Amino acid sequence: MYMSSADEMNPVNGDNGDLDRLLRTAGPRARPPREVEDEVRAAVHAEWLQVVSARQRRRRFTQVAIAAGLGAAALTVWLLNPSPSPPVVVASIERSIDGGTVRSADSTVERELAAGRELYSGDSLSTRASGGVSIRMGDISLRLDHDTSVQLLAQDEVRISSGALYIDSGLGTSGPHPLRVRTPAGIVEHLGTQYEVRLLDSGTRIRVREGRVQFSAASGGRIVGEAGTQLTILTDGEVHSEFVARSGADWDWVGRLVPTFAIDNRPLPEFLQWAGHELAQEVVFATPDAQAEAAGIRLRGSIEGLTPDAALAAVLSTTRLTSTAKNGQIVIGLPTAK
Amino acid sequence: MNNDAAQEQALVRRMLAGEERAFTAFFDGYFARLYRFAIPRLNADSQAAREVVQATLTKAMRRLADYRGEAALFTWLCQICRREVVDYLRAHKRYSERVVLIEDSEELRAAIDSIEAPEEFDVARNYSKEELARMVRTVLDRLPPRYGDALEWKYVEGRSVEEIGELLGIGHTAAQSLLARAREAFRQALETVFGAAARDIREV
Repeated sequence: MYMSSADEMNPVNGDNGDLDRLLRTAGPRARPPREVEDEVRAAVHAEWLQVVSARQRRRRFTQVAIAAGLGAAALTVWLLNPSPSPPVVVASIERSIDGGTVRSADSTVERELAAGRELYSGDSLSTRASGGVSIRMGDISLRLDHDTSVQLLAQDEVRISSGALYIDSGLGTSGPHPLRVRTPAGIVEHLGTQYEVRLLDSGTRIRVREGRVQFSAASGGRIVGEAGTQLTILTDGEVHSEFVARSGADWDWVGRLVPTFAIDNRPLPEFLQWAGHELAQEVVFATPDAQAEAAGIRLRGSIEGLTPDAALAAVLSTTRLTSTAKNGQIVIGLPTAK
Repeated sequence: MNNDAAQEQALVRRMLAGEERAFTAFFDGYFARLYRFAIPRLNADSQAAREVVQATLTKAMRRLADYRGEAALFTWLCQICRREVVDYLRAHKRYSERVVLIEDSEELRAAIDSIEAPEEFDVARNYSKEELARMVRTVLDRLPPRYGDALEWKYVEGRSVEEIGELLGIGHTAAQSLLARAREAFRQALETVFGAAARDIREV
């Protein structure tokens, strides 16, 4: 028996044998997994905030309307409409390779991740074992590797619950950017351009390809990772930092999901800048003549479906120019005269 | 209107006013219970339960202003959840995998209806230990959140009245009083809530 002597003397612990036995037979009620509770809480909290915000807007509007003597029936009907603001469009799908499914926060129905589809706040995306998808959130390209689950919490916030995400804030962007990636270990924000967040069995891994990222641990504390750094936050909170190559096979999946770059009628230097950005390598010209040659070329056609390195080879094959990878750079040159 | 109903309506009003602590109290008080309501109806599929409960609570937020307190808040949430379960099963074509809960059976309804002295818990003799355990946990979830927690802490975890008072942020005498009310509510709920649960499930 568990009762203390003090308890035995109070009226609550009277003749409770049957109650006691029955409840002990039942045992404790199961608790849902913590990560499930956290995910659902975040989604429901976001919805609640929207509902409250919509009500407050309506209330303010109602006060103004009364003050102004605006009593038109149609307006009244609209004001009394209890439905909150619908979820807002926060992203669209740019590319899907055997993609996956998307489900809105208020539905259990799953729809296919198809190029062109708009995505709303609260949507949960899951990619297939052989799939991957590239989406655009404002200026940011977000690529989901296979077996990845994310939820779009807002225009500037996503949550990853499995798999890997690659974030690219785009060409020419510098300085802090507001996108936040929530992970079980904490929040990742980028201060630069390109990085990968991958959830492992052992923890969360962040690979910084360009720029810098800031990781804020759920348990407190912040770490900044520079380009070429891999941060691994283990489940016990321990952090490991090590070097990581900014190009190579580890990044192939990112190239496979690259959004199509429309080359038709674009100058070659623009394409080269894009290719260099996607491959995380600086593009340099071997000679002023090579640079002048490139500046005079305007492209035709399409590179749809090609990875950045394949596109570079395909485009340059239509010119006299050559490319050579050297010391982390792509060197564009002209053939040497024989 | 009884005290529990008044408290639930007050909680809803505070949520609609945007009070963060009210949202936390709501989520902490109902999420786990709703999850436990959903999961046996979804063949113990935890992923499905997560989706269904999230959809349920999201819809509940949108309809919060419509809640009038005609049913207990948890009953209202269960009504939404039931429809979500149906939608989920339909969308995923899982009718064949549906689990028939013991609460669904006519036998149990008859057994519960025939209880004349529920305090003796004779119904327990007709069911396996697992079935009985699950039914008791279901009843605990149907009580106001603090009642179910207090009974579990007291009789399952063996906590003292002092500890329960601390967990609830109330004094010793108030904790004693709450336990007494919880015990009485539990006794009454054994009949009435089992019946309600069986009706709920049959509609699914």
